[in-house]
Amino acid sequence: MDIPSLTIDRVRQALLSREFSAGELATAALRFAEAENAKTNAYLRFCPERAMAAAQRVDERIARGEDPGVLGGVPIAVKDVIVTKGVKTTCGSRLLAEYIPPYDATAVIRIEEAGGVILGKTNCDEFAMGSSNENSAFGPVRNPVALDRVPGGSSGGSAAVVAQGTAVVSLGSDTGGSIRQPASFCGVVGVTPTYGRVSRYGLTAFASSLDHIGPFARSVKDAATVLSVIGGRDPRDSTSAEAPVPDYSACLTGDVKGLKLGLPVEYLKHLTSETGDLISRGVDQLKAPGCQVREISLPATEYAIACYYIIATAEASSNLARYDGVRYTSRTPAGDTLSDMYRNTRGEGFGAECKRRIMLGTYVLSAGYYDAYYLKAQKVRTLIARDFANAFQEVDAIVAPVSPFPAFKLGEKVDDPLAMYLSDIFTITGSLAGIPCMSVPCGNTAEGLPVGMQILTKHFDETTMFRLADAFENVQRKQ
Amino acid sequence: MDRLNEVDTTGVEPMTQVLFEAGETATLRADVPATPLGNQAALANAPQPGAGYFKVPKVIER
Repeated sequence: MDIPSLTIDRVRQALLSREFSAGELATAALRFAEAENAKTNAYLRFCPERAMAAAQRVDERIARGEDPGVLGGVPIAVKDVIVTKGVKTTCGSRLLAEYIPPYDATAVIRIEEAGGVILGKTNCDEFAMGSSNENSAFGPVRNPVALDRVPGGSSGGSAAVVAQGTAVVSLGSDTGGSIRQPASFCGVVGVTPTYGRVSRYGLTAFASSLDHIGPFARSVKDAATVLSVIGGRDPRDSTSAEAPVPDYSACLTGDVKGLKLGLPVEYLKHLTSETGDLISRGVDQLKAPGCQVREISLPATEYAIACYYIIATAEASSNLARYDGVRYTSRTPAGDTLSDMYRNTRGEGFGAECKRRIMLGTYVLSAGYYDAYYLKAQKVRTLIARDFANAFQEVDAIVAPVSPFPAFKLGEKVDDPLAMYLSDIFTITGSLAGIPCMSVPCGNTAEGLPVGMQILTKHFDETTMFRLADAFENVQRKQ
Repeated sequence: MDRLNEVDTTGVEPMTQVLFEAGETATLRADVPATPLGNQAALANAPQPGAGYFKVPKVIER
């Protein structure tokens, strides 16, 4: 079996024809992933016992003549900010290096109920804060496409394993671009669904009004299949939506004739020329299957980064207050008082980027600055969301770049946080509006570095997004 | 961050909810009992558990 080329359909067909069993596939996939991981550091750890138990349940289903499940036997990786019962979940932080969750995230439960086989947990920026995966306490991830470059972040490991072929699909999380940007850098499909589409129960909270769980895959169809599995109302997450979840993979008809697409002029600034050329070519290619493209304007875009870094850090400063040395494994005992214990535990446990964001967030929420920063940012967020609502009265979908530039070299931007934050300039807006958005491969630069095209649609219209992405993928593959 | 002052937000409501259109039932679950995590599991990750509680440095002087 050629593990790096597996798809969900291929696994299903092989299991049903008894070409190989889920147990054989899990054994081979684990062996392959463990051997390949030395190159990229994309997995932080494997969970072979859990994987083999899941595979065995799938084989038992097949032996009883039952359906193996939508994801039956499929090797899957999960970002290490999503909790797995009995399997260490570190969030890429020294502070949680020994944390073993007592429960499973809803998305993890749904993956395994559908027959998915979770091989292990993937590396990420600490508490999902970063755009290069260089903020992990357990070392950076190397981009499998070019090993001297970053895979993007924060879900760098989840993007890398899919690109490398050491998992068929994976789960990541996205707060300001943490799925789409690494998907773009690694040349895979990455989906940030509508806010509320997927339960966040068991996702370690970073910024609750912006956090999403979403899939990575090597094809639009596989990503669509995973979202159908993990989506839907969950009583354990009060922000999860009641809206019914379609079978997205069945919506990939290839018919995009007459679809109206908007190209936001504000997103064509700041691009490297190669990225700009690839995006222009990609947009042109969408005309062949019958899409109509027009330029649109999203005028509040230029304020999105400031708006995001106020709201996201404010929420992070509150959410990360729980790592206080009392409940979550790490405590640095020096000092006699409770305050000393808090200060030492957090001072030693958090990395530089987390500290920077916690301090910024605490500042913007502090008495006297709340109105000027936090409240103002929330009002600007309304304007950003309104831009999209207005645009979607005229167009069915928006197409845009994911990142201004392709994967950069390890270490290139670590000393310049503001340059790093610019990586997210085109992904933050969709996150602030809470609309579905995804990255789909759009060709490579002369150096062979992947560039992703972003597709955004209105709330809960993942169907149009996937249909367009699938049509685009078909055009790209014909080249 | 001060760039935001360039934006006129007169009469604009702050976005305190991501999905305005969600029904009020969206925040309620069925009122049925479920098994809680349990004391032992809840304390399993505590750096210093004791007598069924999380222990911290002394905060109140006698």
